[in-house]
Amino acid sequence: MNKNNFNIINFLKIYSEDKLALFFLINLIIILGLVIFGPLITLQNPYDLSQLNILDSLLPPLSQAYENNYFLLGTDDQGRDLLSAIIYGLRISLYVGSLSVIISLIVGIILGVVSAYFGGFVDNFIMRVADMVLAMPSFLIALVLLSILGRGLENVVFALVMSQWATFARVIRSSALSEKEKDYFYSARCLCLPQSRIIFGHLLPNCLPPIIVLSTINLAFAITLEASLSFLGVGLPITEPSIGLIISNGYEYIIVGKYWMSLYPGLFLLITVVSINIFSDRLRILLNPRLNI
Amino acid sequence: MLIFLTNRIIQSFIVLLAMSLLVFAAVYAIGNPIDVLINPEASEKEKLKTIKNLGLDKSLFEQYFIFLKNAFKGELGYSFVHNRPAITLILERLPATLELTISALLIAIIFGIPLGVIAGLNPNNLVSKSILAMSIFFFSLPTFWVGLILIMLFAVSYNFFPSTGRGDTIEIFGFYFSFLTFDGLKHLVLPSINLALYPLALIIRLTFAGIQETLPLDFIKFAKAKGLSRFRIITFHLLKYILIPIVTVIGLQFSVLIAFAVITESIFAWPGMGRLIIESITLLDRPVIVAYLLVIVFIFMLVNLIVDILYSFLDPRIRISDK
Amino acid sequence: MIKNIFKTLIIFASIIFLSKSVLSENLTVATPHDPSVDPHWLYLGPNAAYSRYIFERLIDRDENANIVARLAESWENVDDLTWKFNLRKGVKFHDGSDFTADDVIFSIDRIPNIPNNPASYESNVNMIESVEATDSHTLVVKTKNPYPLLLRRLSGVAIVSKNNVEGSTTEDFASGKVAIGTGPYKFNSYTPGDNYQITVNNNYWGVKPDFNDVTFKIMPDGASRVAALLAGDVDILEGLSPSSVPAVESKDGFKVAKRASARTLWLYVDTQNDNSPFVTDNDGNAMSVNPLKDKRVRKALSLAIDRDAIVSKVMDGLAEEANQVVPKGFFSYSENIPENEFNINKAKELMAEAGYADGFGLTVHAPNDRYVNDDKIAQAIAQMLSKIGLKMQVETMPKAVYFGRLNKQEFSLSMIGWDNAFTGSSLMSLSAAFHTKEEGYGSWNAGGYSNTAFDAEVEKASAAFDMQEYEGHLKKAMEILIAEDQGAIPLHSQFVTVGTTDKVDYTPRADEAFEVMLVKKTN
Repeated sequence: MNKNNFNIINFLKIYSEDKLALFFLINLIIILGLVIFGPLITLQNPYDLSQLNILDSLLPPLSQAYENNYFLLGTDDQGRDLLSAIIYGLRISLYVGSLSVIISLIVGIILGVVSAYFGGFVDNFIMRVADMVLAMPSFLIALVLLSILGRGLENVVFALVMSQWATFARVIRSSALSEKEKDYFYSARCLCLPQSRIIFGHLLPNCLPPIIVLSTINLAFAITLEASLSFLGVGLPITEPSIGLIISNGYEYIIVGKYWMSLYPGLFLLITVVSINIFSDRLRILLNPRLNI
Repeated sequence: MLIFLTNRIIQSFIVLLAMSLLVFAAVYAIGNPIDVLINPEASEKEKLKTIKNLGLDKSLFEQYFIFLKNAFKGELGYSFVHNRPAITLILERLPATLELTISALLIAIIFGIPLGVIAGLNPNNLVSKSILAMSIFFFSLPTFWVGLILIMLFAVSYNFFPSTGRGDTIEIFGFYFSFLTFDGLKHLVLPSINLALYPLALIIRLTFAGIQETLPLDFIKFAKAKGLSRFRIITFHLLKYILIPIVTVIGLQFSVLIAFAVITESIFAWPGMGRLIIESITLLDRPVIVAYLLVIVFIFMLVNLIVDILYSFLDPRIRISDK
Repeated sequence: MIKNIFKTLIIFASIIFLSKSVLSENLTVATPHDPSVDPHWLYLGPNAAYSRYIFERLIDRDENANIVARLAESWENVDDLTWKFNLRKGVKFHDGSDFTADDVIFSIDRIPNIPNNPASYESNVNMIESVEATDSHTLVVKTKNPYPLLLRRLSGVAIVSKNNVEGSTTEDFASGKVAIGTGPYKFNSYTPGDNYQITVNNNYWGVKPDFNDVTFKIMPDGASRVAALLAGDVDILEGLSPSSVPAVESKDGFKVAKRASARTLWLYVDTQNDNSPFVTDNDGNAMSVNPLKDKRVRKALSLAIDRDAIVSKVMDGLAEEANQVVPKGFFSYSENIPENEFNINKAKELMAEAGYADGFGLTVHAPNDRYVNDDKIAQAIAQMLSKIGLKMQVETMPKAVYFGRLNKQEFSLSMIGWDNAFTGSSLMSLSAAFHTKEEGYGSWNAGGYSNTAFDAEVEKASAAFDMQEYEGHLKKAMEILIAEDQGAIPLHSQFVTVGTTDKVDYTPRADEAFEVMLVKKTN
């Protein structure tokens, strides 16, 4: 892996080769801006119950509110301004998604590499535990955990981590196993380098590309899973809806033609996730054009 | 090989045991089934009697011990709700879920690998870019939303396919399958497409990544130099090389899909295990929840074992050691 | 050219795939519920409703919650403890055997003796001291205490065939082996989680239903039930959410049957604990006093709730405001209780008077899969209460978790909906949900309400045989509970909504139970 060509200029160069990708990069920047500065620009704080009015509920896009405001994208079933709700919802969804992926990643890398490197009992033990986790459907882990812990941001992150780390550990282990068979690994061992250096200096960097691809996949997965959890009625508090919960709330209204409640947040979610995926796809090309997964 | 297998089976058994304890403890912690099931008008005395009848007055440890004792006899408890053996309920619904999961996986493989290969061979043309963009798109769609849109489009607006349910079934070895009847097949189309989107995207991307990685390698160049046909290079050399990660992922995806089937089954009213478990969770039907999770663990360990054995065939460098 | 080929293909595909159910003698129902074929297993509303097809009771409740004679032709109250029933003669079970008093005795005995039944029908028979048959079609029932409600209780006792059922299990019912009753329909087949089929009983003694073959398709998801109806896969849909009503009504060939149900929703308020679990000060710290024990605060809460907005906006007009725990005009409804008032200023004044001008923190709890729009109602209430200065939070959960916690009095402000159709009066809700907790009373008193004058009225009502006296005590009790104490905050009564194609007519039942016999062919 060549770290030297990792700089902003190269990165933008890769982006500029593809108009579509550039478009999504701009989108990603806009979305990040909205997410960071959202509370300063939104019409209302959709999480403050006293700012909502049920009489404003289910208004189509561009309607005037009970109290003199215009709802650009309409309102939801509780009278929240949909645009404000989407911006706040994206904040939470991105936060929950990335936090859970980062934590799962750390846990997964440590366990996966250790497992592949040491083999034997350690490997067996870790992999059997991972099997156990993987064998439990993610919903079930989350559902059981959240039923015990209750709704809440930390609980959702915890549940997502519990259902994701094993995927990381397993895939990292299997690519580390292949790496282990390669020449450079034998050379490092023959040189009697310390174990930690072999793992972190050689084994791990060579497993990185698949990890990046997997993290991409998992970020999208975490956000989707969170939406699915909301669909089942567990997850984040209903008074502080994430983007997934907003879509779920609008789900039953699609059939009666009140499309905006699930269409717009759905589009925002799609654009966000697609932008993130393309971003890390370019990152991958930059890091290592010869991808091994 | 034999020692490897015995080892794995013993390990699996230990996992099942540990799993059963964990699941049992976790499930025990959610609510009290009596509060949900019992008629609100029942008297305190009646409630106590019911609790005693079900053995819910014993300590968690005692309950678990009784459960284990029965488990060795092949009984995983009686459903509180249906008053039938939990394992029977699950096995009754297993074929429906397997049918759905396997057809989704087949769709994903049949379309995913060729699309991935097409995109991987000429990564810069428009078709390939569209394929990759499509795969990213599939990742991002929430299953339940797609399910509803599919129903709205193909069942309500255009009436091409039945909206929900499983259709006619045929009995084979005591189990009922629907994919052998025309009506059953029609019912299968929408739910399996719904379930297939996610693994399809995954397989496209993995195949693409694999091809990208393999193309510049020496053995492909040699094969080309040898004058082998393009078709032969792709099918015999490229695919064999990239199949390892794909087989892992298909293995992993199998259990993930069984989980995701929970949502698909409930939207399409597909009478599989997924719906059973959701109902059992809302009704706190503990024996069914525990038995379901154990059955899933069992299926998954089986799949995993098969994946590990396939590994050694696909990549002789990774040997199954008899340690 | 290619366009034409494509068009032809689409037309062909439509012809092949168009498989509308042909409505004649058959009826297909989309339902969220999986049945229990054994009529004595698992006392849940939907199971009791399903058992009406194959089995009958001595006495049943009709769609308006009135008592109707079924297998008992007539009855009399010999004294306060003794009842005599004359059974209908010439009634035959589906297997051709005669229905006699022995079958009734067997059924009453069977109910409490099914092992491991988590929700037994026992509460419908446990007041019975003895049952004797004086001849093959006369029955004498003695109760332990004077029990005026016996007839209504017997509407929850399905009669099975002794010869067939003796010695068999619940599983024998599910397989159809002993699913033999006297009802208008016979068991046909049951695939758990998928469908349940029944066929008309040609030898039925009563009115023959309109449809010969009925298939229940079990679909737990609401939106897919609607889609199935609109796609023509089913003829009638049970459990239509208010938001989907316009989608069904606006489409040609479909309609919605609706009526006010006897279920009333209200909020329990914790009037018992000094440290209520979900009451905090404005900074989220626990409080040493419970403001909810102050009647003025409870009145303020009720004044701050805009029920009109809930009915029109959350329920799409498919509900009726409630000012007490039974619906307007229902038996035992008290006219002396004033109409609800929505007045934020008055509410704020009362809060200030009680010393909470700056409000306090409060969480409202509700299930999210039990009542129509339960979670949305809870959020709307939180919005409204936050307007009088309360720092509101909302927590909703699946019924599986919710009712367990509710019953343990873990909440401060919590939602429940009670079906009053079973007793046909407010008796069961008042005695179970508000009477001080003691043997036979207050088993669902989740707010810890306790008032001796109220308790006395409820006890008098439960022993009264005279209907006027009975109603008088119930009204008095309701007045104490709501007008005087505001011991609960009534919300609304929900509607039953059933979507159908216009080829059938349906009359919904007040108790929200679905009943195939009420589905008629349109003329």
